[in-house]
Amino acid sequence: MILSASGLSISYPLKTIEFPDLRIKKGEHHLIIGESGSGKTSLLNILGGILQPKTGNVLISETDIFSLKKSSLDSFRGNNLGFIFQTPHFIKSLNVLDNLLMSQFCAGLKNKKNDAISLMEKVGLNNKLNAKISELSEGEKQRVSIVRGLLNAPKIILADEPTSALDDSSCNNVIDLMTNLANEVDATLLIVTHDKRLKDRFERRVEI
Amino acid sequence: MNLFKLSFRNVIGRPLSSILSVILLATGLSTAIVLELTDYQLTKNIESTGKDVKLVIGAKGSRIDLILSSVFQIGNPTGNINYGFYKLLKQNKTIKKMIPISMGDSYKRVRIVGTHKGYIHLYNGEIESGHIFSKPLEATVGYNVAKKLNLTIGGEFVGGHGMEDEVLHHHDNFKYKVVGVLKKNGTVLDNLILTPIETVWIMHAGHSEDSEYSIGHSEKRHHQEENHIHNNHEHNHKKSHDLHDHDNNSVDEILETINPKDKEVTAILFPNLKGGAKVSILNNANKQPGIMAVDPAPEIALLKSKLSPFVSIVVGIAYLITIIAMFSVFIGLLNSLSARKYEIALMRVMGASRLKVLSSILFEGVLLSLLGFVLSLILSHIGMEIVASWMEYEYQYEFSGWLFLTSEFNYLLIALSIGFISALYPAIRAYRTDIANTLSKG
Repeated sequence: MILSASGLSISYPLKTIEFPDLRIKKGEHHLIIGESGSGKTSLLNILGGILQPKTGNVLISETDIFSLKKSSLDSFRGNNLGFIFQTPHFIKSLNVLDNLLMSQFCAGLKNKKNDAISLMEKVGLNNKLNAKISELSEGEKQRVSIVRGLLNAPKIILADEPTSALDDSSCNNVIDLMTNLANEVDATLLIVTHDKRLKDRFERRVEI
Repeated sequence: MNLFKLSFRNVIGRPLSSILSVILLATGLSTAIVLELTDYQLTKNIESTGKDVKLVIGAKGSRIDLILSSVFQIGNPTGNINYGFYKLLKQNKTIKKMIPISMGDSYKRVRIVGTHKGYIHLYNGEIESGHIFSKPLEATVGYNVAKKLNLTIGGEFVGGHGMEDEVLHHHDNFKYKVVGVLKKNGTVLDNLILTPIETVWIMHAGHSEDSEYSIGHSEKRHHQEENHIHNNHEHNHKKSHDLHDHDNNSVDEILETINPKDKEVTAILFPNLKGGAKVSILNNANKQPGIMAVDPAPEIALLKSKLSPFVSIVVGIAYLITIIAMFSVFIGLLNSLSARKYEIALMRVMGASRLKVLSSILFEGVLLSLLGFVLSLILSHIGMEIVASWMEYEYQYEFSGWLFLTSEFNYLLIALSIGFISALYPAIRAYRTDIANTLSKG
């Protein structure tokens, strides 16, 4: 079991949300589907160890992540989890390659430039390595952010609405890219979305 | 990627704010450094020039003017006293050493000082080439003078009456002849032309503005001729032309004809005077009409105390600019962080610990202050060099911008603390970033 979550809940001033238990095996990419306000981003944040749940626990490859010390949790996250967001964000003062290397630096890993370059080749952006972030198109930014999420070969990739801002063909391309790269680095995809177009692409779905 | 690169990129990623911080910090620090360099060199110059003169006798007037003009060679003297008083003091056995100096002439803004060898020994002057003057009209020149005015041994020049810019007229009857150049030794000697005291009397004989005390007057007495001053002058000029080759006999002749009343000195310097002798000379001299004796030490102290309010103002300005610089670093960082909030959350998501984020922000502050310090070193030493050239022109004292004091490293510590302190609060804010909350607002 690569990820199992049980008894998770979170409380907001006006309501408390309880989440279904999750048991996800390695390589089983999942969709987590829910409408806006269903708390799906909160669930993703809890699974990623950046939001403390009110109740319940999360085990990632047998590690109870909320029992870790804060700094160990940070390092655990950097080494085992990759994040992809709806709107890709970068460190603006750094160029594309340095933004990718940031994920290694933040996770406390050695800089492995070649890993970044070969992944960028796979997404067809190796000519943009030295570009400024502001010089990239939105689609290019999303591709770079996917590369960044996968660069440290994480066990799990948590993607928050990665396609909802894209048109149909870009949507398919991004999903293809994500699944191909995830398979390549042996990572398990967990996509949180309300994008109905993705339903046909993934067999395993959890509704919240 | 490393902490330095990340911080550096972030600092240069907001060029205007960073440049402002660096310039402000550099201005504040370099003001303080220039002040320190000036103070250090001024104190050193004052000490090396003033330490061996224990007492000065000169014409009554401003005490500080007497000390400044006769010891430091700055500004105009208080007047002259008669050489007779010097000769009177010479009979006093308790006085081991006395140096008469006679001033008032210059050559191309360089002061000509009539004195004897003792003056050169007082400042431990050594000959670089040639020899120390031994006869009237011979001149031994300071190292800087020789260099600046291209004077070499055997060279001749015409002096003028008046010091610095206001040369009233040229003593073109007689020429000085350079017989020696002194080694550079960082004292007043470097910037003076030295000649026997008799030279000054000869130069002024017949050319004194006050012809009552001129050679013409004494000659007039000799010849019992008409007392029309104009004629006397003409006569004198004629004689002077005959003497243009200034063979020693004629010089001696002129010296003999000078009325003892017209032999004057500007000041008498007393090196290494013992306490008892000092008191007796002080009392004796101050009883004489038109004469005063001044102890340089309290006057120098007074002068320094007069400078201290000025120094305090400059120090205050330096502090003020440095504090503004601190705010600039602080506000620059805080502004940039509110724009970079999401970037901080991103770093955390990618596994950076809170401490890593904290250090990267602190490092930005330290980096800015380090740049400010480096710029301040450059600015202050170039600034000091500019101040130095002005001071040398104005006071003929040697200052340099290429002097480095170990105390300048204190400013490195000050700069680093400023960077650290200004970055502390922004860094703590970054440390406390709520990741999930920030991301949801991204």
